[in-house]
Amino acid sequence: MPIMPDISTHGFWLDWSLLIISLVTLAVAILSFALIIVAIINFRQSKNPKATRHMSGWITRLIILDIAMIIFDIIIAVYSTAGWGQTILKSEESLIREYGEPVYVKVIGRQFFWSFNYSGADGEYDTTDDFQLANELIVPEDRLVMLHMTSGDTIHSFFVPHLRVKYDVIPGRETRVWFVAKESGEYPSICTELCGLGHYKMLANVNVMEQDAYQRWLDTRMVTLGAR
Amino acid sequence: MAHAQEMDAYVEPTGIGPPKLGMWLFLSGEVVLFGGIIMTIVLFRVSFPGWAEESSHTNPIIGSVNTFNLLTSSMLVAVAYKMSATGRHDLAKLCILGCLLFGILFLCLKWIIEWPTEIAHHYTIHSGPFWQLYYTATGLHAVHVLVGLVAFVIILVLYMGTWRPKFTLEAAALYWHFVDIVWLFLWPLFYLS
Amino acid sequence: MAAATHAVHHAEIGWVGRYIFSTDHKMIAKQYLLNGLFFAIFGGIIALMFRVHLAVPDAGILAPERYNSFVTMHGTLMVFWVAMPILLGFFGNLTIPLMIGARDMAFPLLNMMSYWTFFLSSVVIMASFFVPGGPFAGGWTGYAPLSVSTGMMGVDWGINLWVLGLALEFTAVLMGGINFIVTPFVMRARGMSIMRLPLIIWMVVIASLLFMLSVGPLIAGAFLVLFDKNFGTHFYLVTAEARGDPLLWQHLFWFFGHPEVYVILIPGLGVICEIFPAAARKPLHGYHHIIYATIFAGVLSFMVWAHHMFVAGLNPLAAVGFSITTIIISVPFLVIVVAMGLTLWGGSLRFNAAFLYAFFAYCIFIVGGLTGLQLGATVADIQLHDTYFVVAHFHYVIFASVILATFAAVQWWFPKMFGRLMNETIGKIHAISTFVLFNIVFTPMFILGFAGYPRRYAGYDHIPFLQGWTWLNDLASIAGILLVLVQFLFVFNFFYSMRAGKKADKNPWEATTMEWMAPSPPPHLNWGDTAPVVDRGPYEYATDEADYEPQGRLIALSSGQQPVASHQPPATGH
Repeated sequence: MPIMPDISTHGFWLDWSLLIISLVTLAVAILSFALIIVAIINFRQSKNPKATRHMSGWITRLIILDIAMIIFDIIIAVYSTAGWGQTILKSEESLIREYGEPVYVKVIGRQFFWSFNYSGADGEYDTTDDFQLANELIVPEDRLVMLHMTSGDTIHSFFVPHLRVKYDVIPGRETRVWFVAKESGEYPSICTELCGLGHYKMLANVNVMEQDAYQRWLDTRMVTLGAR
Repeated sequence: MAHAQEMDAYVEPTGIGPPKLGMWLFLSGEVVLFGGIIMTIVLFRVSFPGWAEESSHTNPIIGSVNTFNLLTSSMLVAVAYKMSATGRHDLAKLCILGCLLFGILFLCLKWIIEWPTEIAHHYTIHSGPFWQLYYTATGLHAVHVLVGLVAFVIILVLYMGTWRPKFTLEAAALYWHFVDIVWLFLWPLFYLS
Repeated sequence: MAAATHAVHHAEIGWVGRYIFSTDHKMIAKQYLLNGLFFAIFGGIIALMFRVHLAVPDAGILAPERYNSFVTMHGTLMVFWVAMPILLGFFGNLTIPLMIGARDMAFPLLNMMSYWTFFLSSVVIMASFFVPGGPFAGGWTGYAPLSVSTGMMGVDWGINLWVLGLALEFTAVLMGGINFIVTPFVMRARGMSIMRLPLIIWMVVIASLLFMLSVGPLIAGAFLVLFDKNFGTHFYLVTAEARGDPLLWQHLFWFFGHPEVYVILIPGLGVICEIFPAAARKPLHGYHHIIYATIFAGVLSFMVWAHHMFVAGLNPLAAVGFSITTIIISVPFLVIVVAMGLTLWGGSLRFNAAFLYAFFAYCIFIVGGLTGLQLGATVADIQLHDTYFVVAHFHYVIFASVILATFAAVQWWFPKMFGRLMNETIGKIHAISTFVLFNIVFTPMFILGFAGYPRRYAGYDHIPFLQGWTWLNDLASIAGILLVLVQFLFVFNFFYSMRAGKKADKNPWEATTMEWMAPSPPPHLNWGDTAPVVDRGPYEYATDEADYEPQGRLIALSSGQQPVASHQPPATGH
């Protein structure tokens, strides 16, 4: 599949659900079109000049197909709900129990840039050691990252394809997403909710650092802030 | 003509003629329109903490008198329809006139006394969620009242003559009852909450 | 009696009364069709322009603000000014009276007002292209608070005209909808019981009901947009002084939006149901099943609206419920699709152009329906939401019902509009090339969606991780441009056949439904001095006695009697 490589811990739920649904729908489509092609070749007027009015057993076949569809539906519903429970629906407490203390970042979307606010060394916002980055989110690898997002003007959507993260950023509300990145590197983020003229230029960079590199970066940052 | 109709149209024995069915459908559309607005009010009511405080600045006396006005005029329309159906057109005309007067009283209270007083006390459409919904919803309702009044004026003029289409009064009555019912939702939401 | 004088006076009505302010359902149907086709061409050219822009972004064909406007107007026009007038206005007006054996609609005057209100809305939406700031640019879904703020969107009067145009258009469709529902209920010919109605009638009635029961909240929401934009309220807008609710619009819009998708899908399926039995020369399979499945799907469509909002700040628990109702919708549509397929199976297929259009619509709709499952599954939707996958999915659904089914319907009912047949060869070439090009345009978009290509982007060249797939997007652009150009074959065929097509007799397709008993084209009041009577169901093909048996017959009115418009309520009772 042309989908971007997955570097998150929860992404496999999404990828598998996509893969399963896609394969089954593909199979259904191939089967249907095979039957349709057989039908139009076999039952064209020149080959079959007299139509068969009565067909027996079709209602049974319809019921069987319906039951197959319902079973398929149940599989999709159960699997996607399970996946949903492991991603968006997962509560903060159970995440902390699973992954340990999170890194919190406040995300503010504005026309047309992202700002990522860090609370600094004390872990509290609205203090002197706060700092913010424009269009660059720096996070450690293998640690729980919780983004609390809000917007300064209209609705944006924070989408990081490699991290399988997408959630709307809404003015006047705080939305929350989380992820745990498994591999360090630089990953792109784009805005996926039409937000005006510069919508298509509203890009950001997600920089996943190894844990000690991240710590070093944070310390340097603190020193610069202290010096100021 | 009876023969041609027998040939031409197969009318379902539901007892509902085409105009009446059309009117009901129109009202079903109106129900969802006001349904959307009332849902919005409820949504803001739940999420906006200062609602009850703002609501206490409305004038419940005018609100209640207006409720009385609409209910009375609704009753008069029903009586007018009954009278017209039994051929007592003078009484029907009188009832329609009464309904008109109560409707005009409703609009006068709202537009001449209630709104200007509130605006004078700086409760305008810009004064927060309660007031913007208040003016929008009651304003839209008042426009519906106005449309109904125009319809009743036309009917009254028709009833002055000899051509008294039975359905016109029935359709206007249906509409008027609907406007009345909408007010019965708006009244507690704005004046009594 | 008023009706009789109406019939007599019609000859004296004159050109304006007959062609412009006509109350004749066939003329109103043609007016709706031409208006819809105009906007289809216009919307297609808009699409062509922004696809050219995406293919050569540096050529400066569109400024970014124009790009947003054009994407928005393409969606708005195609859904509200092409799909609605054609699928309800044209299908409903042309087919309902002819197929149920009536002489006109229940309220002809309302019908005329419906078209002219629609025309007024067309003028308003066209005017928005010429106001300072240009047309609306907030996406066809018009998400607030972007859509209520000139400062954020960079569009001023375009917003007002967009809302005003939509309000007028909804009023027009509501007026038409009352006709479409009332007429089949009270004006059927003798013997035409409800379960003998052709499926297209059922579909138009169900679609009109869905529209009528869903549009109210959106009208209410549109009022609030106007208030926010012009009077400084804060229903949606969030500022330092006051806090509105941005999600409110999404709820109001999608509560309407999903039933609306079915409003413009179901009549298209109805056309397929009409053409398949006649082309296969056998009865439609599962007539009752299709009706019940459609009603079930229609009811469900009111319970799925938040599946557009899985990652939009909706309560995640609610998303689970909406996901389940969404997935359940596959069941009724499976019934409909299988019933259509079984109609072909065992038939004796006549490959005329109308059948080709309907058949391709059927194939495309299957793909569109199946890909809805990926989007309905909550967790998969995280990746696919607002990407090209969504674009491809709804084009597969809507192109089938709106564009291809419309071509099929025009080709099929052309004799009943102009008394001539459309050219079959051009029709077949057009059908095949449209089908092939359509697939080349939109199949790549499924793949692009997986890759994370976001929709409504004015350019992709500055996003490094998407570069591997640029060629697919370019392929879609090139095929898309060709797809729009190929449509002029149809335009040519339409106007050429209108003047110089082969004269059609009453029943050129040897079909069974009632409209084929009327002359081509039917006169005013349709049935002359005869009256139709119905004896059997709508799709009696391949019976023991004959290849096909028409649904009814015409009986003569007694001599000297004027034909009566049957919309007059009977003198006795009711």
